[in-house]
Amino acid sequence: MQVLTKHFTDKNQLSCYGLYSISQNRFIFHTARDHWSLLDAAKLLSSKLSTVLCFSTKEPFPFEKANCLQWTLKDKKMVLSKHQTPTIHHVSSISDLEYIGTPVNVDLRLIQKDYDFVNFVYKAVLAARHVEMTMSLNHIVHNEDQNFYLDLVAAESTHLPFISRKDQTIWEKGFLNTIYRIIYFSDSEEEVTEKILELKTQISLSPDQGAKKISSYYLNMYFEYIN
Amino acid sequence: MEKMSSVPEIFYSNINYGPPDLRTYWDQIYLKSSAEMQFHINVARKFGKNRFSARSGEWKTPWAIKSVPGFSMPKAEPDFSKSFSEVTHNRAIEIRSIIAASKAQIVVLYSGGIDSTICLVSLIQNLSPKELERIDICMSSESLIENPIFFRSFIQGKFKILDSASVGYAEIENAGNYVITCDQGDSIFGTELATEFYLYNPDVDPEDSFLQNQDKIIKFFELEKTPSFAKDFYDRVLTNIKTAEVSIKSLHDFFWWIIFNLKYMDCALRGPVFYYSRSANREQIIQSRAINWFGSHDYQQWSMANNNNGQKIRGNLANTYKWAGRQFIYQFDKNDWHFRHKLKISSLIKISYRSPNRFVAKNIFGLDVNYNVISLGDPLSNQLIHRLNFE
Repeated sequence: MQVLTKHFTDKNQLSCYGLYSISQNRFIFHTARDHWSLLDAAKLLSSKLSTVLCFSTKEPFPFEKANCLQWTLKDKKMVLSKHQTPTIHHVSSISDLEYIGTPVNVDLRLIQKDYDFVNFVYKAVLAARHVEMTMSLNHIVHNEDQNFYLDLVAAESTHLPFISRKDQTIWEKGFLNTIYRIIYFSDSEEEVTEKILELKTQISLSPDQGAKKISSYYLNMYFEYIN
Repeated sequence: MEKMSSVPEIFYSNINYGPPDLRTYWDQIYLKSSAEMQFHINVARKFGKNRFSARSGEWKTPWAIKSVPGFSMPKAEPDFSKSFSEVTHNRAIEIRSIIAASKAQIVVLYSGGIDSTICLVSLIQNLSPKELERIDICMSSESLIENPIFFRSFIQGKFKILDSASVGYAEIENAGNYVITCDQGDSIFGTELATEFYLYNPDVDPEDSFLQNQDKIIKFFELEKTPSFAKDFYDRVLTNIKTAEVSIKSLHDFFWWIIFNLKYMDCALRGPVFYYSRSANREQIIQSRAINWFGSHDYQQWSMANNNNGQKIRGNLANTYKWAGRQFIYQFDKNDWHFRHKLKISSLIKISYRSPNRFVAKNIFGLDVNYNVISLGDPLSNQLIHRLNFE
């Protein structure tokens, strides 16, 4: 689990990716890590809040830990919400950001709670994606994304005479979708954790021994990563 | 409203400065127009379109616009004291009487936004299960994405869902049904222009005096390459305010007044005008088949009676806009995230991209007093735009 532990630790690494919360007019999260996972996290969070995924290619963001909650984007055109789902913004210079302090007349405990939840969601997305990647590429009864390859091979208007292999887990739409669905429809870390724990029960009730076994691998690996 | 002699009155007009070909069209008109007409085209350049007309107070329009019967601004009742919640529950009771008097279905146009969620919450809370069977929901995948938790908890499996990609005003009317639109929610609470203004001016409070912030307002209305526009626009709104019967004091009042007065008819009519695919006149849909949920007498009274008391907005962040509506939803769904973070998101633009009527609708110039659509190039639009304004 060394790889993932390192992945979760932003120590000594400066963030170049952040999530800006439109409703609070403040950054609510930042990371030095994988922005594709951050985009997935932002999409899942969109059932609760609208964000702008900001990335800086020249210099890191000037904030650390939770003090991102005191920073905003200067360019307000970007933050005029046209979508519930995330939008993307390239921060070309740190001068595009502005320190404005914490919001006034707002319960700071709630803001901290939001910050903690966004952190948790990002961590859960990273863990779930690592599990999916590892299992789909390395496991002998692998679930490689066959549609990915079939779409590459098939021309736009033609269909190949194959059906992609059914997911090998007990979850019809696969493990990653199951975890994502739980996050999308949950309000808190506790609720997400509780619902993921319920997946253990689902596995134990499955009559398909093969699916049961492989699903347990997925879930155990997820818990190793997330804990 | 100023009337022009020998030129027919119309109900509604639209200077559409969005699509590139229409920009070119209006730019050409602009070069040959009077200063007055140029101002109105500049309004469209600033806001993307100009559909302003006044329900109260002085406001010049380039052609004579007549109020559509039933949409005038009611006189403010100083003793009006019903709460937002009371007005909203009562509205559902009014819908119950339509259900009782007819066999038609009532189709709610649901965007997933705060306004249409308020409507659904009220209907769910006030109608019986049997009465709720008479409610259908017309929505899109965008509506689902805007509030997936509400969809899953209160809509999915409980209502018949119609896909707004293929069902619109005309299809609902053809089926003999009623349609509820919540398009006037912004008119009741204020406008997204206000939340945009606060975003650019984080030091102001919505309840600060607008007169003391007029420089900021004028700056906000600046139009590139036309330095005189912002002051001219502000002065005209100020004249309108001074000649109207409602007291406007704060910044939020100022922006609310623009939509409650000048943009109200647009909010009321744009659905049946632009998203109605039949060529028939629109009288039946506007006057009897479309129910403007927030257009009731009581909602308008509530809106006039609740300025500067924290019911419309609290503080200058966008997540407190429509505060009373947020509270109303929260008492039902207990969704804390929605209550604290939901934003106003424009839904009409998304619907327009799906509408089969899209390319026809963009050329709609207005509505005549017989409820017929006037398109650009029609004799009446030529008469209004060309002959009148080059004089």
